[in-house]
Parts: sequence; structure tokens; C-alpha cells
Amino acid sequence: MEKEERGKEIQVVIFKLGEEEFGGDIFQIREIIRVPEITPVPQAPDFVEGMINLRGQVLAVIDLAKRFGMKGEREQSKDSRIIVVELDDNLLGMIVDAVPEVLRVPEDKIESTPEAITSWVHRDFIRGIANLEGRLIVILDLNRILTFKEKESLSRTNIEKQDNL
Amino acid sequence: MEFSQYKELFIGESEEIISSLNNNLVNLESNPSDLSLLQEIFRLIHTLKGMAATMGYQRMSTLAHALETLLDVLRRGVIEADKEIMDKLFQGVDKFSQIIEVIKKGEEESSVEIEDLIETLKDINVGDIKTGIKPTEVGGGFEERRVLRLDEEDRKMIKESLEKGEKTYQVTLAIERESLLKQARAFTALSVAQDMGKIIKPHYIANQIKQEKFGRLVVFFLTSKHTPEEIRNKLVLVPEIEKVDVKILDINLLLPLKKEKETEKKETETLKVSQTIRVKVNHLDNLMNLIGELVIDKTRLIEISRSLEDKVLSDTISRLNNLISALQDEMIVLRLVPLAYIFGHFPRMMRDIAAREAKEIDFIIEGEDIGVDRTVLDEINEPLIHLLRNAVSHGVESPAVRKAKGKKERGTIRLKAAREKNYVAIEVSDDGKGINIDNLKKVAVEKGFFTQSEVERMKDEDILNVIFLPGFSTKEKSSFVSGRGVGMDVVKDKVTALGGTVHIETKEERGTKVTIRLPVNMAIIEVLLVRVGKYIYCLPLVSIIEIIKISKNEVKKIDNTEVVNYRGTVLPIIRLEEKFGAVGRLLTSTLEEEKETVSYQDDGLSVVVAESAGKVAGLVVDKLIGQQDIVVKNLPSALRKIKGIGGATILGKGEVVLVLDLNSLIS
Repeated sequence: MEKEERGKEIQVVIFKLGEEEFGGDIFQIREIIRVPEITPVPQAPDFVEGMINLRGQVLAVIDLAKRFGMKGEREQSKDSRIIVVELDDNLLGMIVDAVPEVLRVPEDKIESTPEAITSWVHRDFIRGIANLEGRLIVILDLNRILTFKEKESLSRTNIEKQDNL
Repeated sequence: MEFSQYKELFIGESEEIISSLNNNLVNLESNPSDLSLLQEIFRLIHTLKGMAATMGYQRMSTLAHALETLLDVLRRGVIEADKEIMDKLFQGVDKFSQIIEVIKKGEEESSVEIEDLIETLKDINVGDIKTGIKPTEVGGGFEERRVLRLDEEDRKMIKESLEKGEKTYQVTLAIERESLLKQARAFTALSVAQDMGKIIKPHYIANQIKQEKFGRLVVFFLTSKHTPEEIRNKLVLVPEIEKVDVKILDINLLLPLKKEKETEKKETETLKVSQTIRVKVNHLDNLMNLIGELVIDKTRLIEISRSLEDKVLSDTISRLNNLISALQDEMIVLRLVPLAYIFGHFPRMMRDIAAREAKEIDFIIEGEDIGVDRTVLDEINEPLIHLLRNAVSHGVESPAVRKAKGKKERGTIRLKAAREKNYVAIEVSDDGKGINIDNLKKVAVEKGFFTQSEVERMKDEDILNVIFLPGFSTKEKSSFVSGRGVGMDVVKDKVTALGGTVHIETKEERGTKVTIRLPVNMAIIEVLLVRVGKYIYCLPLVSIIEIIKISKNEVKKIDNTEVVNYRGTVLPIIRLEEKFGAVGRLLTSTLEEEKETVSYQDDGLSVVVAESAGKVAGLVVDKLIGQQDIVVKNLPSALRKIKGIGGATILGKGEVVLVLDLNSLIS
């Protein structure tokens, strides 16, 4: 979202993946829900957790950490949430480890991705880094979590299904 | 209501009108003197004119007015719609479509050029004869039009001359555009004509010319004993006369006076169309989802009331249950749209394709009133267009070839829809050359789809299915219409995605028939719930032939494929568990409670025998849970292309369950 004017604030939903804090523009987020029962989908890419029923609508849920390439099994806890975003005309759910708060962040506190960024998240997904009194939050561009190319590969049949359940 | 909403309405209604205009024009082309058709076309254009004017689309209404004027001449039987006029009418309707497209994009209608067409229309709009109507009735833009009244006296005169063996001609003179002496030339021509016979209403014509109430066309009626050629040859000698057309006038075509009133009455009657409102499809989708939710909650309520055993509560809930069922039925009907909605575009399209390919066809549509779900309708349009194009360009032969074969010169292409329970079967058939199986086999081998020995063993109907394979086309040269890289494989993919099947039959020299079977109602289908391992899947009932029980040692292996003997034939079996790596919906306690319809001992296998596109296979399942009507939800777009998964549904307690796509699993 580039329409905010200079000097304005954006509201950022803070969520955690592991110990790292991320943020997403509240305007890109439709809602945040608890993790319901998820129906796995065979032959889908491994970061696709499956499908859920959101008030009568079936939507795909991905594991955001796996999407970013985080290795290893991670347990879902009672703090786990699904962030629902609207992509094109579809809703997509993203599982995160916790959603502790919503912050107001002045636009000028968000630096466009500096070279020295150490996050393991690919730069394509990052909108900027918010520096809030020493607390560094990676602001993601949630609409780009599935870029066109990835969407295509999602659709392609993936024969080698990893057992990640 | 916002202006933009009016605009949407306007666009929708205009598109409908344009579509029926096209159909009526195609009909008119073969029945140029059909008065009811002309009336209908006039009415449609008139409606369009009114709508465009209300919306402020000046150019559109101007063009409509010009066409209306021409139609008025036609419907009064003065002139018949010949090829030139038909072309103009079609061009006019195409301009409307263009303008609508432009408006849709939010651009100005002025980007569509209409002046040339209007100019040529002026050349046609001539000699308007109105029986018993005041000559002053001429309006906007076409003042140069002359109006001639034929009264009883004129009729009498024409009748008398006919009895004398003379003929009545409609003479049209075109004076050169650059001529500075149009009046003088017109008078000279008139006097030349006068020498050969009698001009009907000579004073009126002369007056009109005197007052310069004509463009460069003069039309008059002449009774004469001369032949058309003689008249023509004389008139053409007049200087600066560019063109002379002499046509025998069929006096019967001139409408008798009293019919005028009847037509007026008819016009008012047709205005009383049934009351409809337009609703956006996504509102219907939302409504559908909400009803789906309601059904789920209803199921919960029923369970609760059972446990509470309260008479009042259970009565109320049973009533609620009936209401919701009624609501569901109504919803299904709401989403049904008659096939005519897309079929309506085809006659015009077929006319154009046939003209381009120099083929002569009769195009017959049957069953267009059958309703199908809106989603199906949108998706089926493209495959049908492809099949119809194929029928014209690859099916029907050219008139000369047909004649040489002893066939009727005009080919017949039939588009037929019929309801078969919850399915609609749409057939596209032609009486063309059919498909040469030997040739097909040859190409299949050449292109490496099969080996020579394979094709030799294949049955004709099996080899026909090669047409649906991607990258297969027997016609090397891509023609203007059927080329474009869209093949039969696309047709098949589309139909399959909709849960339907495609079947092709052909007889050499007799023609080809392609049948598409589609669920009428996309949303609700009957499925068999099965358990495989720990997971539940839905199998669409329509593809299931039967459920058999076999013992484990009946399974044999041929070329790494597991097969069983099924009624004397070899039935390949598919183990869903292996195929899907045991992923799906876990069996929850709810479903455990469901009544089991069939259950087998450990030593046996339950095999669901299913058929798709002529292929039969057995699916091994662990348990048959039951049969159920489900609301199919589209998969999230990102997951839509996974082979074997056709959709998802939400069961009674809100669980998401996968619906298998048996077509892609089997083939």
C-alpha cells in the first residue's frame, strides 16, 4: 500500500514466527482467527497446510514460516493464529505463532529494506523495517506472500509430497 | 441508485437486445418478408434508441434512429431486405456492440465511428411509403427522405395496370454525388420514365424534387409494359445518373391500410414483458453461502433438539427445516439461467463463420430454454464456440464438394440441449465429412501418441479420444477461426473442470456429434462419502457404476498396474491411499456415528467402480460411509489444479472434506 502520505501513521498488526517479530499493514488483513481444524490437501506444496471453513467459505491456509523456508517441525500452540488476507479475489489464511498486538507506526520510521538486513525472510516479501526504539520489526507486504510465480507453482501437481503432518 | 448502477443496467440490457437483434437478423436473412420479424427488430432498435437517449449516449441513439428509419421502410414492405441492406443492418448492430464495449471500458462513445454507416444508410433510406400516414411525420436527421402515400386510388391504378399485363416497378436512381444539377437531372430522368409508363403520384414526386427534399437518390413507382432492362437502359443515358435500379414491385407486399392498427396494438402488447430485476452474481453467491451456513446450523439444532426431547422445540425446528429446504430449492432456481442466454449469440456467429469459410449451413438450435447454473453457463460458452467453429470449418464441406458427394449443398449443424435428470446434455452435430479413423490413427502414430501396434489394437471409440489429448490436431493448417491454438483438449479440460464429460461419435461422410454432459446445478451434487485410511473423501455419484467386493487375492498385476477381473473385463484398480499419500480429512466422531451403508470384513476390498469418458476403473476404499447431497465449494484458486481433487465441501459440523475428481483420477 503506497497511498499513505508522508508523515502519516500506519497501523501494523504484529505477529510472531518463532522469536522474530513481523508486522503487516492492517489494511491488508481481513481478519485474524484462531486455528480451526485444517483439512490437509494431498499433493499440495509443503507449506500449504490445507483448507479451513471460514463461515461457509473454503480457504487455503499456508504456514508462513514454512513459506519463508524455516526448517523443522513446529508445534501449533494455543497462541497460534491464522491471519486472513485477501489476495486478488481469494482469501488466504496464514498461520503465525502469535499475534500479540497492533501498533501505530509512523511512516517515516519505516526504512525501505536496508542492505544489511539479517532476516531469513526473502527480501521480495519485505516492505520495510520499522525501528521502534531499538525494537526491529520486519514489515511484510502480505499481498506478495504468494507472488504470481509461486501461485503458479502452487497449482502445479507436486508428486513428491512430504510428510509434514 | 447511482448513475453507474444505471449504466450497468443499461449495458446488461443493451447486450441482451443486441443479442436478440442478431438472432432476428439472421432469421430475417432467410425470410426477408417476414413481417413479425421486422416488427420485432424495429421494436428492439426502438427500445435501444430510447435507452441510449435516456443515458445520454447520443451517437448510439442517432445510429439507432437511422436504423429504425430503414427498418420502418422495410416493415412497410416498400423494399425487401436484400443483401446490401442486411449487411448494413448487421454493421449497425456491430456498431452497437462496439459502443457498448467502449462504454464498458469507461471510455467515450465518440471513439466509435458511425458517420460512414449513417451516410450509407441515408442512401438506402429512400422513398418511404407510408400507407395513410401524414407525410409530415418524418423526423430527425433524415429530412431529405420523401414520403409517399399510396391511397386507394393508387392501388386501383396499379391493379388496373397489372390486369393490362403491365408491371409495376420500383425505380431507384442514384445521381452522382458531385452533381451540381441534381434537381435538373432528377427531372430529366422522371420525364424519360414518364415516356415509358405511368409514374405513381407524379406531382408529389416532382414537388419533392422541386423542394430539394432528396439526397442523391430518387425513388418512384412506375407502371409500364416495358421490361426492367429496357427501363434501365433508357434511364442510364441521362447524364450524371450513376446507378439505376429497377425492381418489380410486389404489390402484395404493400401493407393494406387496416393492418396499421393491428401492428400498433401488437407493439403495446409486447411492451408488457414480465417483470424482472437484475442482480449481481456475487450477491447470489453470497446468498448461496449463507444458506449453506444455515443448513449446517440447522443440522446442529436438530441434534440439540433430539437430545433435549422437547416437543415444542422439535416442532419448531421441523418447521424451520422445511423452510430452509424451500429456501434452498428457491436459491437453486434463482441461479438457473436459460441456455438461450449464450445460445443467443450463436446464430450470428455461425452466419459469419460460414460466410468467411464459404460454406452454406442451416443452423438449428434446440432446447435453449433449459436452465443451467450461472457458473456452468459462463464456463461452457467458450467450449461450445470451439465445437461449433469446428463443425463449420472441419465438419461441413464446401457446397461444391457436398454436391459432388450427392449431399444437400447446405450442411446442417445442430446444437441441441436436453435435460437428463440432474444433467444437461448439449450436443453439437453436423452432417459433414466426419472423421476418418484410419487417418486419425496415422496421425496419432506420427505424432508419437501411440505406437503402430497400439493403434491397431485400439477400438475406434478409443482412438477417437486421442482428439482430446493436448497438442493433437489433424488439421495442420490453422484456419482463421478454428486455429488459434485452442484445441479439443481445452474443451475437455473446461468440461471436466465443471464435473462434466465429453463424448465424440463420428461416421465417415455422415458427420460428427460431440456430446457434452454437465451438471445442471454446479453447487449441489450427490456424493458417496468414503473413508480411505484415516481420511474421508467425497466421490461424485454420477461417475459411480457400482460398488463391488473382492477378496485381496483376486488382485493381479499386469505391467505394474493392479487389476481385477470385473464381469469378464480387466479393471485397473487405483489405491487412493497410495495416490494421495494418506492425506485428507480425518475421520471425526461425527462421521463415525453415521450409519454405515456397506461394510466389509478385513479379508476383502471394497472397490468403487467408476466410469469417466468411457474409461472404467476401480477405486479401493476402506469403508463406505454413506450417500449425501453436498454443496460443492470451489477450491481456493491456488489449489485448483491439483490432479484428482475437484473441490471441497463442508459437512454437517463444519468440517472441510475433499471432493475427488474421478475424471482426472481415472484417465
